[in-house]
Order: sequence, then structure tokens, then C-alpha cells
Amino acid sequence: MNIIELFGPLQEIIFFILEIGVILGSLGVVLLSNIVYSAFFLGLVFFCISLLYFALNADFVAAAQILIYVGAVNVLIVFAVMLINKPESLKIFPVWTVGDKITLAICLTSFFLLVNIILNTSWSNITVITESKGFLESNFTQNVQRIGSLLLTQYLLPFELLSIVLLVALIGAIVIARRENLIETNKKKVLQIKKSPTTF
Amino acid sequence: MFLLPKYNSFFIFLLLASVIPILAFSISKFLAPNNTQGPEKLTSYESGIEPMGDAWIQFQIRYYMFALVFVIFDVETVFLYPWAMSFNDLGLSAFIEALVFVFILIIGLVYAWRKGALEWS
Amino acid sequence: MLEHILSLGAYLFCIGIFGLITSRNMVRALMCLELIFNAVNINLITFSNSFDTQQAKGEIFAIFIIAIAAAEAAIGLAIVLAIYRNKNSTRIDQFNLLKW
Repeated sequence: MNIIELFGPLQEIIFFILEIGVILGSLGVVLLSNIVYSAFFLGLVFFCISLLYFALNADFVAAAQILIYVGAVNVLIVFAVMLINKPESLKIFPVWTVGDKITLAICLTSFFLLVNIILNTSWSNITVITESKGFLESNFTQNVQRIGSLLLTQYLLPFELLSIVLLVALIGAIVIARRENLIETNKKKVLQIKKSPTTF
Repeated sequence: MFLLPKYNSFFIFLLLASVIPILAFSISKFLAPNNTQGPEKLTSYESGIEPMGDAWIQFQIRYYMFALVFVIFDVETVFLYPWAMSFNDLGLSAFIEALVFVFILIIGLVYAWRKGALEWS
Repeated sequence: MLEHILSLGAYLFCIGIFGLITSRNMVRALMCLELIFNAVNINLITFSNSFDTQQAKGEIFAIFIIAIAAAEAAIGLAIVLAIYRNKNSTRIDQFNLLKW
């Protein structure tokens, strides 16, 4: 058995396993009562999506997904969950209200509508037209280099604006999250001012 | 749909690396004797002494501040990787533009430093 | 294959919207928002792989979305922490202070 012929069904198996991971993980995020379990299932979803990006020939975006989403955003969410630690109810799945059922019906119909649209669009017409332009060059340049040169020449303005967005996010989040320290240092100053007149 | 075969060995490796620990744990769970289940076996381990206190500690805000600063600078670092990979092909202007990017985020670092978001005491 | 992954993106989007509307906890709503961002990213990367292999415009857009989503999650969670500090509750239907 030639090992190169094994790679056809291998990609199908990989896609199947990753899709099962994404589907079960997203169900776990939405349906579980305990929010710590939800946060860990979200990490699983991010990891499976990153492996999907590897399978779709987007290796830089896959690495960025693991570094940023799994490594930073998921950790941030877990820390926020730990800071908001209220003992919840003991059931595994929460109780459903009428609004939940209406929302479920609407989301199911929209999902089936989207799948219907996807299956009825003729993707093969677009593929034939666009793939005929310079197919061979894409194999030989590395993905990261191409993204880097595009980022700094053609997409320079979003790149610089992104630095301003990150600066604003950093300053805003620090200002909002540090009010507790500010109140405590002000309280200490007030106590010191009240104590000092007794020494005169 | 264009799927390159260069990551196939990586996926095989990942599959094997996930299967082996699962196999090891399940074999050990299957083969171990289970007639020694006392109530003391389920208490938490604290280096031999009796466990005292609660397992949950009070979480402080400074953990969140560090994770926040880390998120922002992690995103900045991820954007610096493709610049580093294509550094030789681009000219002086790209170098200056990337320096502007880093400089704007250094302003943010100075702000976080002065406002005490990086304190650990 | 293309339709397969696009329907996976559609499924993730619908589950994200469902979780966002029906979650009573604020942090869970932010987590479902991240699911929606990832669904959009899956679509973009799939299209970039199928139709735009040379220029990878979809990949660049996806990387910008990842960065913006990270910044937005940071600020959103800071707001959640500030609200929790003031009202000591995480139920999302009790914060109607801006309602007339």
C-alpha cells in the first residue's frame, strides 16, 4: 500500500474529527451551566478551528489563532470567570424558558436557510474562472512572507490603525479595571488626613 | 479547494500523539484493582499533612491586569512576525512603518507602567 | 468540501447567536461573541483558499479580525468586571440603568 495514496482519506478523517470537535465544543460552550467548563470548551473550539486553518493552507493564521485566541483571549476569559466566582446551581444543563425556545426555532430556521443557500450556489463556476490565473506560483513562496509583504505595502493603513486600536484598548481596559485600586488609595489618604490632626 | 499535502505528516503525528496518552490511561484504568476505595483516598493531597483550608483562594485583580497587558502585546508580537520574515525584501519605508507601529504601542506600555498595571506587590 | 466547511461556519454562527441571546451570564455572552467571530473567520479563510490562493486577501482580513476581537474581548471583560464590582451580580437582565 503506497503511503501517498493514504493521504486522500486522511484529510477526510482529519476534517471529520475537527468538525466533531468544533460541533461538540460549541454545544458545550452554549449549553453547560458551569461557566468554567464552558470556558474550557471554548478553548477546545479555538484549537480545533486552528487545526482546520492548517488543513486549509493558512498556516500563519492558524499560528496566530493559537497564539492569540488560545494563549491570550482564552486565558483572559478564564481569569475573568475566576474573578466572578459565584456558586451556581447544581444542574448540568440550565432550565429553558419560552424565550429560549423561540430563539432556538429562529436560529434553526436561519441555519437551514443558510445551508440551503450554500448548497444551491454554483461554486464551480467561480472556481474555474479564478484558478486559471497563475496557479503555479503559489506553491513556491512561503505564506508568512507573502502576508508580511502585503501587510506592509498594500494594507499599510489598517496595520497602523490597528496599532492605535490596540493602544486605545489597552488604556481603556486599564482605566476601567483599576477603579478598585483608586478607591482604596483614596480611602487610605482620607484616613491619614483624619488621623494627623490629633498630633497637633 | 486547494489542500496542500505538506501538513499531512503533522496531522498523523498529532493523531498519534493524542491516541497514545488516551491508550495509556485507559489500559491502566482497565488493569488496576479497584477494591481499595476508602473515603480517605478521595481527599486532596497536601504533602502528607491533613488538608486544611479551602481549595479556592481569593482572586485578585492584578492577575487580570497582567493577562490584559499580555493580550495586547501578544497581538502586537503576532503582527511583528510577518514583518520579520519579509524584512529583506522590503525597503527602508517598511522598516520605518513597522517602527511607527511599535512606537505607538510603547506609548501604551509606558502608560500601563506608570498607572501601576504591572505591579506585583 | 467547500460547502462542508461553509456549513460548519454557518452552524457556528447560528450557535453563537443562540448563545448570545439566551445566556444569562455576561461572560458567556462574550464567549458566544468570540464564537461568532470565529465563524466569520472560517468563512473568510475558506474563500481565500478556494478563490484567492495567490494574494490571500481573506487571510489578511481574518488576521485583522482576530486582532480586533482580542482587543474587544479585553475591553468587554474589563467592563464586566467593573459592573460586577458595583452590583455584585452577573445576571444580564438586571442592567437596565440606561433604559428610559
